Amino acid sequence: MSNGDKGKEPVKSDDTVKLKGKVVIANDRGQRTEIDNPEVRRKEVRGV
Amino acid sequence: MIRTFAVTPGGIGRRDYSTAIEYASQPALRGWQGRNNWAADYSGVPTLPFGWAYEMRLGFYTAGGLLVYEAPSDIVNHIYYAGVTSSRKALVNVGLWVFANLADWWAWIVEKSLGWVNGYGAAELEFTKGVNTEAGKVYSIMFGEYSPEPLFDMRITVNALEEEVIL
Repeated sequence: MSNGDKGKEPVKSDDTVKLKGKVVIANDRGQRTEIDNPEVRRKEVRGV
Repeated sequence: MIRTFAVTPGGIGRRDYSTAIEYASQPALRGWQGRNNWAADYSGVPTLPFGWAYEMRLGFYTAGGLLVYEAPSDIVNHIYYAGVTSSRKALVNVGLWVFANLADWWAWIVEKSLGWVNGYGAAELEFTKGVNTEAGKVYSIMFGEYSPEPLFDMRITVNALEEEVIL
């Protein structure tokens, strides 16, 4: 973690969090799904 | 997005521009294909330390219209675009990862990365030849913003053409 990141909430690689917002998956065949406040994972990706 | 580029027609006789069309950021839509759009609109997302990212699986539809998180065997998706835009002109990134199956996705065993780009305020991945999904694999999008501000808003788009597999 660099100096600029000091004071931020520490995160673990297996964390899952709910983000405020919406995901919409839609196609030309008329299918459409909306997911409110979807769950996402957070991960250290440096070096992956 | 509209781009201009030099076109070199190939072949003899009638000019063939088909190769040039494939270089466009949005590939030509054939009659048997359809678009598939995955879009996310987030607000008040907590900023992560540099080197960390959020990750989410992409969803695909089967021929029967079922939403699944492992690429279906009866529909191939040609992914050609993934992009993020942020509410601020801060460092952002976007990437696409492939996992061999759902178990590997849970275990964070990445099969390969399709690409990873950084930008200020926006970042885009474009695949001029598209990336074809393989049945059973999990495709996920990574994104993040890095700035001293605690929260950010972000829009993410993944575009693909879907095509039914004729057995």
